Amino acid sequence: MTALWIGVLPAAIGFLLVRGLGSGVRRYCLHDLFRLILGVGIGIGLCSECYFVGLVAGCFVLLPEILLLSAVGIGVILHRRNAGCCFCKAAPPPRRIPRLTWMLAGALGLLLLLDLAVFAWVCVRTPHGGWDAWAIWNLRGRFLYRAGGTAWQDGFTEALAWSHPDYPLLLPAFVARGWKLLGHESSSIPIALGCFFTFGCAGLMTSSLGILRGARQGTLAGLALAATPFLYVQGAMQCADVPLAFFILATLACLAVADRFRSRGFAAMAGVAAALGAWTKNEGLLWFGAILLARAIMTHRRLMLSFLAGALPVLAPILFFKARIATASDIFGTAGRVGMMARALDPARYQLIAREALRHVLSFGPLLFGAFAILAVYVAVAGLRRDKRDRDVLQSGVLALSLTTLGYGAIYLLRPLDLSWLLDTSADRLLLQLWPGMVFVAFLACRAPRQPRSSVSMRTIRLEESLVGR
Amino acid sequence: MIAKRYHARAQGAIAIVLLMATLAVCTLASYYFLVKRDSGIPSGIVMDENRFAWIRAMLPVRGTIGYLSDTGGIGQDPRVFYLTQYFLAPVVVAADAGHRLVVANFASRASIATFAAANGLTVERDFSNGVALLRRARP
Repeated sequence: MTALWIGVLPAAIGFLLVRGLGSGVRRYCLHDLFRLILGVGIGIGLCSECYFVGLVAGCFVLLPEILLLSAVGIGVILHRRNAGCCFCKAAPPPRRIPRLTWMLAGALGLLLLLDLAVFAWVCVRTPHGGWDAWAIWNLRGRFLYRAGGTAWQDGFTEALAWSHPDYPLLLPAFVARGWKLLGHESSSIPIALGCFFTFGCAGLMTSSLGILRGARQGTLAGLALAATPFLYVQGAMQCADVPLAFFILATLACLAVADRFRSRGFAAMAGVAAALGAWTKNEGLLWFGAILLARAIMTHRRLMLSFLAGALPVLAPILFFKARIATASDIFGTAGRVGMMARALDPARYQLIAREALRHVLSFGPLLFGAFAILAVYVAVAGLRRDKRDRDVLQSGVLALSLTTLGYGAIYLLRPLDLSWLLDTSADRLLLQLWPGMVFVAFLACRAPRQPRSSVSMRTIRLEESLVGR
Repeated sequence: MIAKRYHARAQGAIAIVLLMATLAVCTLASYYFLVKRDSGIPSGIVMDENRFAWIRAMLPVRGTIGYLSDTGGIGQDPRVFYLTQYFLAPVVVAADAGHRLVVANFASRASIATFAAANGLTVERDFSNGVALLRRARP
């Protein structure tokens, strides 16, 4: 029963929120898979914030999420009169799924099973996760769970500066919430959390692109993500880069759906997802700023109000945490500002960052040729399509991902730590944060493989693709 | 059959993704065999945590304690220090021994008393597993 509460409450909050804000039929349709995966991720983030709010307010820690569930439930009931799936209306599900799509789906299923086996094997070997998991996230979770009264704030002291007490609390707060409901500490909570976000990335990729570009293109994109071993090993290591990657992907997927279907609700969900990225890691704050700026530049602030309306309630606890609880960061704190100008003007640091970034990009995956190189070849072979409906999200997505990459470079440049060590230990994980977002943009932008009709020439097919977008 | 029905670009795009999937299978398999060959320890930190069960029961529910080790401090062997903090949370473990209560995490149990005396500490309780609770003689 308790285990049910741990997982069902976030899933119910998130799923109902997505169905309430995004469109949903009265009963259920195939597109609810997309809503469910997105909703569970968002529900986990919101429950984590609710637990933090409960700790700060000193009230029964489940009270904020019960209130949130009630509010979302009332919203869905009020929305029931206008219920209807905009995805079903735009493109009814096909009567017959082609054999090739089934074959690709089978390959995806088999690859995900192999990923799951490796994930489980790594979890058995390291139930407390990798270095960052126990030294940062689960350590903070222990402070939140074990300490009574206001003692949880002891975990945010300068004496623990090595464990980054300025990092946001999505993972620690959700893990502590799970332990609280369970009544004891168990590594099953962080493992389950890692499992959802790791496999949720592939699920969200496949289901969102399935809606936007058709089942075959969605399955191909899911295959490309499932073919990234680093994602599954890092997910099992319980590192926060995987949940951040999920929220970056969720932001782009919601914006794509919002632009395509002119949905204010999904624009608000994009705001929620981007803000939850900021509640996951400090790099998420960078992503939030980057996507906000990119949308402002590329879309002439269309749907911006809805995006901000979704983001602001989620950002409020983050701002409180940063202002009142967290210690100063090692970059912008007093110690970090010493010698900052010298580091910013040192050409050797630029060279080292560029050289190491290239090395990590070429070896990312790790696959024989590097996953980024394979993705680039895919884009070149498949070719880009022309579709005005996705222009806004593609342009703003590419700009936001580029701005975030530049931001990572600036952090490397300014951070007062041994640069070689820093690049060696974190560059792959930073690439991992952006990888699902990049795969999404690439597969949204490229032509989907489709069967040419025997009587139709290639020129006609290209013309049709440029008009219809499939 | 696919070659007949799909044009070259589509075949190429699908082939690239399937190649990627094949490479991923190879990578996952080689990762499994390499890690299995190189390391036989399932998980170091779970076994280590039991060493700290007794001292956790003796520590106050909150506050800051010091740290002493024969393997070096946070500078020389940060992993051991970080793990000590991980096991003893929500008590904060400071990186130095300048506190009323100090946790000793030693590789060699025999040298605890010597190190403690050199730092003006007395052994409050030795748990016989390299972990001891030390107390400052004159606060």
